[in-house]
Amino acid sequence: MAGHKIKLQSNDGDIFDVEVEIAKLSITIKTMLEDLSMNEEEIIPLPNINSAIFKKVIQWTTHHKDDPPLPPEDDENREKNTNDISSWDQEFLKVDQGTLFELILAANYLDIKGLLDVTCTSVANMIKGKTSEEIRQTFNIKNDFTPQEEEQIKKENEWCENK
Amino acid sequence: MIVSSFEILPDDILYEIFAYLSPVDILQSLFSLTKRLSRIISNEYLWHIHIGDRTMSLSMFNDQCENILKLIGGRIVSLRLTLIDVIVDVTSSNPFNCLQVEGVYLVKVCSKMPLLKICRLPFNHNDSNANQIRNNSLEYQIILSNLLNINHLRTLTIGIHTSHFLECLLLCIPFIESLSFGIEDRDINKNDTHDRILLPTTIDAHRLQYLSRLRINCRNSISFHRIIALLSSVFGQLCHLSLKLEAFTLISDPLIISGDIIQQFCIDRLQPMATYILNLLFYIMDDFEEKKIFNTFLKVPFTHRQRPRVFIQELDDHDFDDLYHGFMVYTLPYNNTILSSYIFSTDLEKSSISSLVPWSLLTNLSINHSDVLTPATFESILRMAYNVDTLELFDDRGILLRPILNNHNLVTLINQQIKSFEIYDVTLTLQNVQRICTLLSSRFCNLKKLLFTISDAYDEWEWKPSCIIDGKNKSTKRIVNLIYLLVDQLQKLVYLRISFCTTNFSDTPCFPHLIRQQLHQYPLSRPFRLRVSSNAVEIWL
Repeated sequence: MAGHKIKLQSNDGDIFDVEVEIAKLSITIKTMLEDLSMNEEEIIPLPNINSAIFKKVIQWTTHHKDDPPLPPEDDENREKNTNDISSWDQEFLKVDQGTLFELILAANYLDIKGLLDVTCTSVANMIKGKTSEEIRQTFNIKNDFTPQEEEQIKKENEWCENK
Repeated sequence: MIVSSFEILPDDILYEIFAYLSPVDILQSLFSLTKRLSRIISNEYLWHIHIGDRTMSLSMFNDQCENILKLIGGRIVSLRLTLIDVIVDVTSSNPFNCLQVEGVYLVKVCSKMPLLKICRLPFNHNDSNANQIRNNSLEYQIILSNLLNINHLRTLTIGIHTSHFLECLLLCIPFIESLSFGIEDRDINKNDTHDRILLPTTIDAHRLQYLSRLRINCRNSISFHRIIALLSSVFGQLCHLSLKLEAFTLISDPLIISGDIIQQFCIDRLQPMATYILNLLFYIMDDFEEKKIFNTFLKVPFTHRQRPRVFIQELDDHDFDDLYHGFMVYTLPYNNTILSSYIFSTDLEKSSISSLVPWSLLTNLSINHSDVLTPATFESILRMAYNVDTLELFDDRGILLRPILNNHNLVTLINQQIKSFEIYDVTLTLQNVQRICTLLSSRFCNLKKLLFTISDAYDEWEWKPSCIIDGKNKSTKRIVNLIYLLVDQLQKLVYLRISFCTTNFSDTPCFPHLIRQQLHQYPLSRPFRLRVSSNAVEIWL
């Protein structure tokens, strides 16, 4: 029923009233409601997501609620295109790295494929064409190789280092 | 806890991200990043690889085949090789182009990559040597029996094959879930009554018990009837059918394809929940009696359903010989949909017909009848169809290309979006092409493929370079300069085709030996392969 709402609780205790149709874009919540026959009056806890991130998730799902369902992933549509981010999503994803990674984890936990796709695309775009050193700087990653190990890997990968 | 680093992402999410990166990006950027990533990439990640997208350069293709497969070949679970025309056609003796023994590469690939579950090898079989078909049948039975011993294939896409081959192949892929193939048998010769009545025996459905997605591309009427006969037993288990068909059909032909045949042999055999996509193109004789075939499509139940909605569209008769009439029967979404000009008469973004078009799924946009399309509408289309990367402009009045080149918004959009641009503009002549191409290359610097046609002068005179003093050398110089310009300016270009179109077919400004000589003497700034004939120059970079 359009407009009907359910209550979802983030891990820091905030309770959100969300339209059922929007909440059901999350396969995890949909399964809870349908397969586990959870009562729609019950508060559904989301132990892996904080309020700030959940607000972003609701913002995204509300905007995308009328999107056509994504085709099932198979051979025909496996190839993914990193140019696929719409301008609204690009604006939505102008967030700090921490938020972006938390959004990925939330999309994965809630099983919202569209959001997972767009956030992963965004990270992939940050990686594309960069050297390892540039990626280390971008994501603040520590190099845990010994110089000898690094030399060995470089050797194995020589052909693409020259690109 | 604030997640601040890439390192905290679990493996399965890293794999999701990898899916958006090319093997080169993964190996170049991530392999030497941390010990964990190095371990995942070399020992755990199961690769899905597509080598050779439509805009990959020749040297990259070779590099990837040689190096990537060597490094990670043992853990590839999905492989798709796209041999763009460059690779297939560049030498006339290329073995991919004429597989005398059908399936030989499929078996080779499967035996080298034992984990392969998803395989796309769209090599077409060339059936020109049709007399050998019986012998071949025996040969590929022997080859395919090797496949049976080793394969784990769940998803298989192959090119165009004969029904004889497909009959044998279907017995060798017991785990197949999703299957895509083309089929083309020789058209039946009227005297060849033996072939005419020969429809294959229906396959035992247990042989293909996991098959749930089927995509068939039938290239003629006999192929359709043979494959439908062969697979009729499995239609009931499919959750998705995609049928593409192009056929000439006649009322008097026992192998007629009418609306009732499609309804009865395809649609009625599917489960009610199964989805299907149709993309059917028919040619019939253009007379009253034969048009009954067209009328059958107007009457059958599947064309009246709301889901999937079926469109029936008659083609312009002047595109064909007067003897024939063509029509299409198709479902949306469908990348080859022809949008009629009347949808442009209203505000496109708000019109109800526009809402039926799955704009975001479109990748290829082809514009015909340039006179009904304003630059503003074109801009709307590009914005809605933001995944379009291939643009074909057929401008038989020469009125759209220049406004596009001078429209700042359109230039920006096309430059961001379009990788492949094909232009037929009737006013593009040898005299003005250099100027247009200078504009084009400065405006659309991101193009990877550029194809255009140079016409002889517009309705006024024809090429007669042989009648002009030094005509051959002059026109060669113009063409070669054009090639230098485009190759130098368009740094991302991987393919260039310049075609020449004359009104009387008797003359051409393109002299292959002179162009070859020039390009040999003063080579391009990048490695290239060249194919040149009297009506086209093609360059792969």
